[in-house]
Amino acid sequence: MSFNSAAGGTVQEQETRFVSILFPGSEPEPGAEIPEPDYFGDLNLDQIAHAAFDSRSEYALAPYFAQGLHDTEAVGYRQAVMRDLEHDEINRPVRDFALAMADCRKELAYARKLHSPFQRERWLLSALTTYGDAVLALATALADAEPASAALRGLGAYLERYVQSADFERLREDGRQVTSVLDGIRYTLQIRDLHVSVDTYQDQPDLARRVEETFARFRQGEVQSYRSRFPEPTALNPVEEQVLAQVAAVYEDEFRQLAEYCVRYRSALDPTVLRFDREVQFLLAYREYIAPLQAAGLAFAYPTVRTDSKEEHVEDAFDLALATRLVAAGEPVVTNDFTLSGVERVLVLTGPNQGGKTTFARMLGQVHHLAALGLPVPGRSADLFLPDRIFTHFERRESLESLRSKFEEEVYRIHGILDTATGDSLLIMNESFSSTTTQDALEVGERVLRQVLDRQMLCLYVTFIDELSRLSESVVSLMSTVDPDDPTVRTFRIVRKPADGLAHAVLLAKVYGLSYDQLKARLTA
Amino acid sequence: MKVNLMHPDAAFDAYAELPPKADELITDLELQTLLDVMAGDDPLIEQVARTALLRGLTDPELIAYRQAALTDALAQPQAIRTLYGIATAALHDERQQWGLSYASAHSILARSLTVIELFVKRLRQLRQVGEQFGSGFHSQAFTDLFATLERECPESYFDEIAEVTGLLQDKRGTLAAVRLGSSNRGYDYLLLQALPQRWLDRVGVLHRHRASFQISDRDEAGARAVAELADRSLDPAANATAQAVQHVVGFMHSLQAELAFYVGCLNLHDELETLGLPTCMPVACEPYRQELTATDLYDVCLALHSREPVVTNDVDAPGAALLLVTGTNRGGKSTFLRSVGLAQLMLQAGMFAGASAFTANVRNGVFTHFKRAEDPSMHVGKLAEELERMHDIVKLIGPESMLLCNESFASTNEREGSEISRQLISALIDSGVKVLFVTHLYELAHGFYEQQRPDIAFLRAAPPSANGEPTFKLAPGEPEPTSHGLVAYERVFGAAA
Repeated sequence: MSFNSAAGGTVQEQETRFVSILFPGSEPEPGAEIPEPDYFGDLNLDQIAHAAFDSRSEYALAPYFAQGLHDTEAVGYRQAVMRDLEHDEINRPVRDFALAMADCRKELAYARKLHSPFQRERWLLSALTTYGDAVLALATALADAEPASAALRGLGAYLERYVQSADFERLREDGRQVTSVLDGIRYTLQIRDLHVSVDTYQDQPDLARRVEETFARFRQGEVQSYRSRFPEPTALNPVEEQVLAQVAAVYEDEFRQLAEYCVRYRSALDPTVLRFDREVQFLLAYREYIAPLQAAGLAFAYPTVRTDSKEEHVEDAFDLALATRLVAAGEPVVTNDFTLSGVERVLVLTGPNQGGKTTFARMLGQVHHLAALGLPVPGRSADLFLPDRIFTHFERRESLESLRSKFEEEVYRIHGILDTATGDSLLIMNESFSSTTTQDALEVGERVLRQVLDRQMLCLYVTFIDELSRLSESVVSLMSTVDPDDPTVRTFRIVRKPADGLAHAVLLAKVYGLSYDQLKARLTA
Repeated sequence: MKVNLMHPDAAFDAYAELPPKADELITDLELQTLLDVMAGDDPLIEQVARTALLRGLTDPELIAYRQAALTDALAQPQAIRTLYGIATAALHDERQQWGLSYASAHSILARSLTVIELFVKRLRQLRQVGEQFGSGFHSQAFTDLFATLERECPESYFDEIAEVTGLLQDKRGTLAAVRLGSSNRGYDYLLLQALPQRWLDRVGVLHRHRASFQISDRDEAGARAVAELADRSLDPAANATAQAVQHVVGFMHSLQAELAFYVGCLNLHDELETLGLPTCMPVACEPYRQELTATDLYDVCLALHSREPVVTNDVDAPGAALLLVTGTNRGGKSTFLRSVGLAQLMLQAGMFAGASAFTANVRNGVFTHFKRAEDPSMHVGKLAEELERMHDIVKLIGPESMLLCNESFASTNEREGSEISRQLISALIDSGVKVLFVTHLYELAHGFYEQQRPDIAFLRAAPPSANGEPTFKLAPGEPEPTSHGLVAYERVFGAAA
């Protein structure tokens, strides 16, 4: 069955054009060095990146994590692969393939590093054999598993054609041939004092066997072994290398075959296969990273992303970086919901300090970034807008180098952001302009928000200035909450409610016996 | 090459686990005296003898097999002792050569070759004993052994060994066949030949391709690497040779252990002969029909210990499942009990017995219930202690076992003791156990006497002779209510008066 997809061409044609499992088109592979987006540090996405990808540094996965996708089809393309990877019959062969390719790379490293040229050649033969076995196994497994995602179906079709191609079959056959020729070599090693010589084997009988046969008649039962243990490092010592060189000279023909094989197949590794090996690690790493959280009962959802509507609804979301730490320490994770419907565009979040507001801000940013990567996001369900860019405006430490004051610095930064941002961007501001008087903060904050509202940008503004929450009907007021019975206890739940300003401060004062009424009563008693 | 001197088709395990309650049996029958005489000061003989006596054979045919071998040994003691000496010397030779466990292939091979040379000498000696004395042996065990030695260790075989070891003598070189492994590293070394000196003097005219190089003698690391290659070359052959040595060691151990039994018997026989006491090859009967007949039966351990003439007894109790022994104190009852127990063990070990004739059916376990010292902690009363011990025995005893009881349950009054004993004994003998019961419990003995059962026999210790000296003789007789205690009283008091 074939159908036309938005990317153009029939499925068959798509599968023929298969290039990548992370990108539906024919985008080139990103390099190893791509700078982190500015907002990574603020949103703790850098922590997530380290935790998830540092152990796989040889694959250079950071660039994939840094670059969000901008169209919903590309997001869907990747999500489908992640869904496929949830099934054992796809997951397991993919991981086996990855392990085999890691072995192949190790062998390729020997093929480059070792001193003896004959060893280098042997390791290249070995690496290519491992490679061939891995590709063959994966092709077979994918054909059997029948993946649902276009990406893996495309990969499967590509591999099937590849392993049936004349080039691949010749690679395998020649490899088998050379391996068998080398395995068949039996040379003789003659050692007289310090004189070593190598020759061909003339079928002389094995003395150990002869000793066994001669004394077999005395055997009463099993006896222990008297074998010595010899070290077997991969590299040969200089004497062993010389022996090998002599063997190569005596078995000239066989070693020539090896040399020819290496020249012919030096660059035999298929770039698309190598690219898949790298890209799939991105998805496997993320799966591995979220697995302990899932095991602890936290939900992850494949978000529905849209570019034509800014309405959003997310349930039971959480800050992924924080949750990783909490789950590892066996502590509970508080989840939160948020909704934007109709004309709503801006969330203004006020409330008691240390109440989880910054965490909420990070969660919101992370969820949007992860959604744009085509990955499942922290939460039970997620309908999200796919922004063209994400901007953060968090409090920064005062820079000693800058000639500006902290406040001026912030204004400068927000100006830069608003200059670059479009109506489809997402802006997250955390305690912006708090390093000045309330009046200034209110006025500047109001002006910034008006620009944001004019452009219909999605925005979260964490602040202590209640007035901003009442700016327009497109602004939603959220508050961090405390336990009604004990105002010193934070719930870390963020709820929709009108900003009630000083109410918390008053409650707090009461708890410590410092309210006006309480003090007056005490002092005049 | 199997030894098979103790059993037609199995090796004798000198260190097999002894049955439960073996320690008590040894104590109660004073077996250690017997073992000491058999062993002399050879701990191996003691071990072998202990195992043979306590793990007796239960098949009369297997007993006959061993008895035949023993008959041969008794007729040719010199040959037996010589064979034993050779096996012992061979093992001593091997132990002398013992080097470090983690030696190189080179030294393992050298050491093994030395031992093989010594072993060849010993094997030849063994064969020559057979050549010299073989005609005087008639048992299947020994004729098979000598035939094996002749067949498997002729001079031509030793020549073959010499040829193979000649090829292994590592004078200054090695030649090995090697394959290429995964890293083009050599593996699977097969030693083809170690080159003797004269070979080295010939330039390699036979080689076609010869590629070679030389390590400078100032290159220490290089020299070490070459030595390692030589060791790799020697390794499998060194292993095979060392294992071959162990195979011969195994054979020698087997031979030594099984001969030890016969040497021990020879020692014992010599001693009993010196004391002027009779021995005989006892007759073993099938287990299911009770048999007990003996002429001139005596307590071997007592004889060995006291080194004085001992009293002998005759027994004629075919078909008896229970033998009740009553009579005078110090009448020789305990001694008699022990003499039967010992004879049973020796019969089933394939040894001769301390009698001029002894016939019994085989048993698959011998248990003793003799008097014990009172528990010093007084936690357990004497009767309770006896009952508990009997309980332990009953857990282990089977229908084809034998139980020897010496004054059991005398620690309570006669009525109670008799009843306990009656129930116990009846149950045991009705199940096929053979019981010998020495007792003062008149009610018990009399009760059984009245039953007039054909499978119960009664022996009575004779009263002291006129001058008060005990006779230690037993004879068939009805149990008497008295043990002649009054006689003892009158003798003592009469003498004092």
